[in-house]
Amino acid sequence: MRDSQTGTARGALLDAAARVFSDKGFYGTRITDITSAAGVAAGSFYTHFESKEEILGAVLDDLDVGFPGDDLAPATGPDAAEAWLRAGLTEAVARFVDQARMWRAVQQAALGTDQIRVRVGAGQAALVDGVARAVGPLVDAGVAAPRTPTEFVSRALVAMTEECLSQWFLLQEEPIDLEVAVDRLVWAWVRLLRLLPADVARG
Amino acid sequence: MAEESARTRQGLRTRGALLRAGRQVLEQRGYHQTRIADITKQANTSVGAFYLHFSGKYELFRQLLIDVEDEVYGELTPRLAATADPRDRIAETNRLYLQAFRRNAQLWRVIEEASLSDPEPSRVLSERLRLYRSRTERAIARWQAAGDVDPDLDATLAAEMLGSMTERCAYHWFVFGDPPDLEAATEQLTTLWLNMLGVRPAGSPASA
Repeated sequence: MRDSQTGTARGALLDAAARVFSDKGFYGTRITDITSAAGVAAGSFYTHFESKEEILGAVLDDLDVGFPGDDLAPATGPDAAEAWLRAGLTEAVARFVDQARMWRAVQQAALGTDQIRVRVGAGQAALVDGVARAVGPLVDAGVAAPRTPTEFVSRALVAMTEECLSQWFLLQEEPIDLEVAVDRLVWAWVRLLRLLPADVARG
Repeated sequence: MAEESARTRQGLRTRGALLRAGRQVLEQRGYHQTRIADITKQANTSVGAFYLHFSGKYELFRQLLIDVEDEVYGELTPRLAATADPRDRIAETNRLYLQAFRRNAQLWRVIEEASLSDPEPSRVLSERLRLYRSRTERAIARWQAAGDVDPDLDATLAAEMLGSMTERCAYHWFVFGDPPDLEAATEQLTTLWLNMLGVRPAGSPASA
């Protein structure tokens, strides 16, 4: 059992790690940067974590993942489905912007170390599953007709959204307006899912 | 024996050996954890010889980046005529892209890693993306002019979203996850392109 002091130090290290990784990126972060930001002795890091990779993994455990709104009841018609999508994507965009720099550090680490890459791959799969759980009922109800398996279109939607958010809010010098980002994503999701009012979908 | 410099035949051989070794080491160790000494050891040459050819790790990396991008994006010039059916053109482009990406997936991982850290590779990549997107946009505009695609569709936006979707899917499949069957993936990606463009897949009835 962990005494409260140990728990506090661990929590302080996790909070500090999230800040330092966001500021300096994965490779720019040294363990001593984390311990000094946490206000603990350098040696105490190893009481709690074995490595920089391990603490990044623990920070990831605390990050909010999953497609927002995948737990909502399936929408009944194209308009309700689009409103549901817009709400989910609005939250996803806000969350990404909030965590963009941390996301960059995680991606860097994932590309350089197998441990984090497996972890991030599992996170992508979970996200795809969440979208598939939301999209499946729409397809079953005839509201969406993507003409591809639900798992496939869900993967494509997650991938497209991830790439766009990374371009718009991380790699591009001037980030785009949040509302514009949501509009573009909703537009693309609606078309890819063929979530169109019946008369348009036929055209 | 001729004195080695960057321009002699021996010099070109050394440069080639360094590029091959650099690619191997980068793919094994990643961008950040590759040191010049790892590369010269693999190439069986000296650190001094390395600096005859490259100013540093980044310059060697940049050369590899240019070569692989030429391959991945260069192959996207479809062999089919511009007037061919959009379904066939899109399927062919997607197939060529996925094949080229799969061949270079390990180096692609290094490129992404570097572009998340340094502005220069990030800028080089963004420029290539813009080039590729504008090519897609022109194709969409031609299909709009020919009556294959709704003239009111925003071609710039469609090109951006379709490019993002295709590139990131390839990245998920070949860098992170289980690579899919290439033909099935090509076919399904193509269907999603047609969904976005509002074109019916080949063989589907008009009422579909």
